[in-house]
Amino acid sequence: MTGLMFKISGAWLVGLLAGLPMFASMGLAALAFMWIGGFPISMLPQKMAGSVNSFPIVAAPLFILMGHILGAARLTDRIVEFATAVIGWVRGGYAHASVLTSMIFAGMVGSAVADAAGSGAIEIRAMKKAGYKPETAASITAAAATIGPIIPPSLPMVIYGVSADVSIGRLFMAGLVPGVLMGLTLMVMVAFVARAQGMARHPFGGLMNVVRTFARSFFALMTPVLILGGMFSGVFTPTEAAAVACLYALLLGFVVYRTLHWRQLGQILVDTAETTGVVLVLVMAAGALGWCLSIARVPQMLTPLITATFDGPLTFLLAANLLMLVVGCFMEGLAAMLILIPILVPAAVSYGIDPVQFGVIMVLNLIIGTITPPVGVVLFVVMRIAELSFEAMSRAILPWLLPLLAVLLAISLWPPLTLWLPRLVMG
Amino acid sequence: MSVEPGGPASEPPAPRPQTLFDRVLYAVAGTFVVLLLGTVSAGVVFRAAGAPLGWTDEGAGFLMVWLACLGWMVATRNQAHIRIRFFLDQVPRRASPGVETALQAGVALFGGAVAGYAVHLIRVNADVEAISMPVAVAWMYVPLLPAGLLTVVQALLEIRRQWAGAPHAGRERFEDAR
Repeated sequence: MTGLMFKISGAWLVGLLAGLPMFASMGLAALAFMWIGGFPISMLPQKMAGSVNSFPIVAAPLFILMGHILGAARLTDRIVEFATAVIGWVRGGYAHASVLTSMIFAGMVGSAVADAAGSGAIEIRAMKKAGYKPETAASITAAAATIGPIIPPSLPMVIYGVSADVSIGRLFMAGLVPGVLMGLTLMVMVAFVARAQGMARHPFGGLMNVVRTFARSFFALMTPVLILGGMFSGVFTPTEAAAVACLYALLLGFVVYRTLHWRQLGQILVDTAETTGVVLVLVMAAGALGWCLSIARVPQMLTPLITATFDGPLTFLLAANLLMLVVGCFMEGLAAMLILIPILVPAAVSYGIDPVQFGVIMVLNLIIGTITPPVGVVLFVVMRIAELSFEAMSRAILPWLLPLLAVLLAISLWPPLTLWLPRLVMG
Repeated sequence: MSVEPGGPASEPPAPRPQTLFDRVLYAVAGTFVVLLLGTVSAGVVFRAAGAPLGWTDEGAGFLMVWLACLGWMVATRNQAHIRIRFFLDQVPRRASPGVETALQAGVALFGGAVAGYAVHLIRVNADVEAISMPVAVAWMYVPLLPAGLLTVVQALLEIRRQWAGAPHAGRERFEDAR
């Protein structure tokens, strides 16, 4: 059975690289295994439906919906204004404000692309107008957008939690400290670059300006407080927090700020359904394939091989990081995650690595892939906004990977960075 | 930093003309998003009111399968599914329809298998009742049938379009996927 699964996996990889849609390539591999292995083919639709028939995964479409509502209601404008009032007056202040905006926005939307597309246009335009190099402005925006799926809520963490059977609440808490660290290391990098490039200072608008912009954006800024506060205090589960946040976002858009119109609602719902379909059909196909892998005992066979190759958790983590970074450069993050989870998570657990820590490491690795060539989707979004060539953007982003890689190394080497908060809150 | 109105600099791809089928599909998919939100919210509200509903978790699970399949159908119609096109784009123009036909045949085979065996699941679960709701478990497998069938039809349409000489109409859609 294991040999058969390896042969099928080879064919699956060929199909994937040849251009088969990912869900179909995974589904066909599962179908081939069931057919040749003599299992009832009805297991295919049964496992597909079973993999999304769970309450925790309901958080995925609801967080997607919230992202679309917040995007349509243009709440980012107010947050950018507030972040600029707070920190825009230091050298390289607009770049610092871009990072701060991403950190705040990350607490509202769990997607790097949504962050880059939502606030990127305003931030890049302002930075270019202030005389920043377009490449630098675009790179800062792209790098800061990667904080989105690390600070909760996070769509990739929901998918990881469901696929690896790990508490989504714990994952969300585990992402908070690394997310803040990412923001701080990016700000340190901004400070160096600002000095090196002679970025201008802007006059401080005064404390009243900070208070005024805070008041203007108060209800928007309360969104992360509602989500995180509700979850961490145990009032809501992550799925319920997503639903409450959607209702709150609708309230903000329709009643408080009146920036949302009823005619936008249809498009928001269809976009939500489409994005949900793109993501969850992968989860469905991966669920069927995951069943085949476990029946073929592939994880049980690969884990001893991995543990025999790497003599300790540290070398394993470094090798796993390298593998995930390379895969993330060439493959869409969620798809890569669904493929790698059945192989890497059992191995990590066998080394005594907490699956929560490994989850944050995996998500960060694959999110870094969104800003690396050749298939970095955030890179594409920002490049188009900044009107830069792909080559220029690919070169400019390289130094901005350093702070993110430093955080990746830190959370790999020092588990308390990820595990301290969930253990403190949830025991 | 002053905030100016206006979205990203790039223009979105031109929308594909919508058929009546698309409009109905969008309406149904949108309705299921609302139903899912309503079900989870009802669970929160009634629990807070001290009268928890027993069916909301299981109901949300059922709706999730429906929404996933409807979203799969919407993404199929809009050719929004994730695929690696790098090597496919290197294929010489003359060989392209043949390669695309082989790929779409694979997609159709998968869709056909899902639809065909979903019928079997619907039949065997028709008299099995859900735990907390007065509905048959078969309803969970029902949306797999149209999703699989649409996958087959769309793959066949794509093959036809390839041999008619039309260019690739898909768009890479990753927004909000991570």
